[in-house]
Amino acid sequence: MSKAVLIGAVAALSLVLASCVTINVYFPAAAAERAAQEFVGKVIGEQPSPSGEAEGGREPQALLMRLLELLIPVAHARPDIDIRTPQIQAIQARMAERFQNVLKPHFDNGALGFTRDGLIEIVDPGKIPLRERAAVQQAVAEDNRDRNAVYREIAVANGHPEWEPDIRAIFARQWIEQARPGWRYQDGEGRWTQK
Amino acid sequence: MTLHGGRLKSKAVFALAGLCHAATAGAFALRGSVLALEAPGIQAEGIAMLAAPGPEPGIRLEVAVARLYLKALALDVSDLRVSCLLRQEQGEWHCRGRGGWRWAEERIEGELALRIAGEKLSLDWQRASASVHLEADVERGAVRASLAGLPLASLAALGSAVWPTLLLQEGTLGGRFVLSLGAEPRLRGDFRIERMAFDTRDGSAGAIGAGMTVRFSSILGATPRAELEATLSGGEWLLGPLYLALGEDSLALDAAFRIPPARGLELERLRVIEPGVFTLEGDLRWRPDRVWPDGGISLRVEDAEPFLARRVFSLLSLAGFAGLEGKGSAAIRLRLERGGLTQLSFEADALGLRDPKGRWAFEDLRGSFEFSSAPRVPESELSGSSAAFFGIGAGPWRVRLRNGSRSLILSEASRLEMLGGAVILEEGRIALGLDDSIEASLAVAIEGISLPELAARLDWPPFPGTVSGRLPKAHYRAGRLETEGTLEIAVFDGRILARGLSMERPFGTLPTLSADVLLERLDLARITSVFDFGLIEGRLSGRIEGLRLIDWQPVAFSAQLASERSGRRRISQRAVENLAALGGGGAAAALQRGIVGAFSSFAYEELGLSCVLSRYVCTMGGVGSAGDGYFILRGRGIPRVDVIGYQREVDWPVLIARLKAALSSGTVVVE
Repeated sequence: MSKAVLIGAVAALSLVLASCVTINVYFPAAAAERAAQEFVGKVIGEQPSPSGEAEGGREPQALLMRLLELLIPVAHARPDIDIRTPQIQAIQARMAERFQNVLKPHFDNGALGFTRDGLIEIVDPGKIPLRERAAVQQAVAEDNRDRNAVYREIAVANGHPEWEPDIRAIFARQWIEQARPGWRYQDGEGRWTQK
Repeated sequence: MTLHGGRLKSKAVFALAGLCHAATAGAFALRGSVLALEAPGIQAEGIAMLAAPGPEPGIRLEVAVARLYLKALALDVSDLRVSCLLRQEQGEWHCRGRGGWRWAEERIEGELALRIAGEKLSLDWQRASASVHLEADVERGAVRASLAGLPLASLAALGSAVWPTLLLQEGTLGGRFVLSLGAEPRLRGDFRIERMAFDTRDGSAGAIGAGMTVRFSSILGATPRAELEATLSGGEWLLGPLYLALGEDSLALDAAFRIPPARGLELERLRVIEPGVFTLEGDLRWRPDRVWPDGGISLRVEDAEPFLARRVFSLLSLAGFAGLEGKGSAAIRLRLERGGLTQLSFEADALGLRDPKGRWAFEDLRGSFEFSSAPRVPESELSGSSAAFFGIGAGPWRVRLRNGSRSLILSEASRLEMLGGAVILEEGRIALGLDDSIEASLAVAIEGISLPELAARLDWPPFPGTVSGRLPKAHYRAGRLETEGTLEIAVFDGRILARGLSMERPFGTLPTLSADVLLERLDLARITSVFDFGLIEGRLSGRIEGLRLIDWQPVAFSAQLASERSGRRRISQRAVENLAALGGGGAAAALQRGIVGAFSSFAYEELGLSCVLSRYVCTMGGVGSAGDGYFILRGRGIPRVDVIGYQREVDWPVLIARLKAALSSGTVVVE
């Protein structure tokens, strides 16, 4: 008798809980993550670690989101985030060239870092030789203009300008995730740390 | 004999000299050790002294001072060692030998000659090409120094006392200094620094290969103040975001500043002059707790060309105006208060500015404007002989402005003649937002702009017709321009209406344009004659919704274009072939070449194409379904020609290539 009551109570509670949980997956986080991963990889260059690590090392929450995405109709959660427009690819190529030729050595020596909002910043200008400092300042400003345009454009091109902050956040995470050991980045509280 | 002293007065050193004097008479060694010695402005610690008769006539004097601190100069020297032979010559004391000290990291050692005559002391010190001559008058409290070829690196400690993050690296210093001690010590001098290299720990400033000639006088005390005149010549300089490569040029600078007790810096007067190029004047007060100073800056540019190209190009490229070209002259005055910009005034005289990428240009800009809560001139005027946007020239133009607080308001409508018509600025307002972002709202009317002229400038086929319309509300903020209203393009005897026109970053990275376009009864005969497509007679209507251009190339739209089903409708043989080509390989299926070849034109019921462009694929359709395909052309009468497309998805670049091929060569591309 009491067991039946218990089962009944648990069932009722589950029903109440289940009926309360509403998950709206409008923003295709996983697709955006893949797009950002691809974009960032092409700018930073070859990943030293196998790419499977990023996939396998996902937190259960991300996995859950992806499962939900499978369940929820495509119309709700768009299956893809489009970054393959020639214009965005042109910017990506330009950013990759700038990264390899100008920025990378200064990420290596700790002068530059990735900010928490998906941009880059001169953290320690003293580490850049004086002769190069003005050029690096300029490259950082140009790169940030490109970054802002890319985040905005990906959101707008996918029909959701309001996604810009989400796209930016996902990119910010990707830049940091794909950063090489020793590179600097800003953590969630805005403190500079080293990978 | 050992002497232990606690804190002795300034006379102590002479008392010790007196003891040495006694020592010369007898053959005994004197060993002295003083823990600390303090005179006004001088502090010495850990003094040890040995005086013993030397092998030569005189006394071998060895003095070591663990730390010597000269307060007036904030000069902190450690491990000072002097070893010399003390002799009395004609009532004066001379001591010749070697001496050195440690300044910051470096130990400097050289030849030394000391002379003491009464209350006067003089010192000569030499090492390689560096020499120091010091004369101290103890009674009057004055020290004169002449320096030559002194390595700047040896002054690192002194430098960082003045500027805590300064790292002096290379260069030599020569010149004369006079220090008067007293309640308010004064230091003046004139010196020259050559081949200077310095940096700062925070990287905010530096120089390489720079030269500097300075004449200054300063009062050191609780509130140090100084006046200086300097010439900066050659080398490369970096000051925050400003990078200067002076090369053969030099800048004249004069300044007066004080350092208040609460630190910070008060620049009472600053003037930087490059004759014939620019004059910068300012009075600024930095407080240690604020990034931006309070005060005023006035910049007069006499020749914008070298000024933009050589002096501020680093600032321009940081702001996204890399390579901005200019000529003529201008003046800018800024007032900063409580961390914000409270006044900005701009004057131009025959100023020309040109975007190096050719996106915009202004010629012969004259007049002024002012952002201020209390404008000196409430109304002003700005005019130019011409302006150009994306190669489209306009002008002359003139705007009358009401200068308001953080805003500029157009006080009367302004007309900009261009392309045979005009753009009329009916209303306008530019405001500086609280976050210093620029916001603008406009009402614009467009009158009869000639399409052939526009097409010629943009390298388009020569469209006939005119553009006119009204955008009653256009709003620009943070790189985005949004409009309300409709632009009407009267063209091909019909009209094209553009609504919901908006742009992002029009002059920046990845410019975009969006609009909804409506086409009304365009005369196909005129269109096809312009485009050399092969004659089609009839009227074309339709819509292009959600048109979006990135970098001026279409990336998305949903277009439906179709002929009106009334009036005379005929299509030439060539146009049939071109239409078929547009539809792709599949469209040729319904084409009877033999029959087509026999007639030069055909009657048709309707023709049309639709394309939904997304992700670089155009999903195509026509004016009705035809089995598996769709009608691009539905024929009428005999002989009847239908063009039926079967390819539903076409890569956009492929479609553009087909269109270009059809238009340019007149030959049909069938794939």
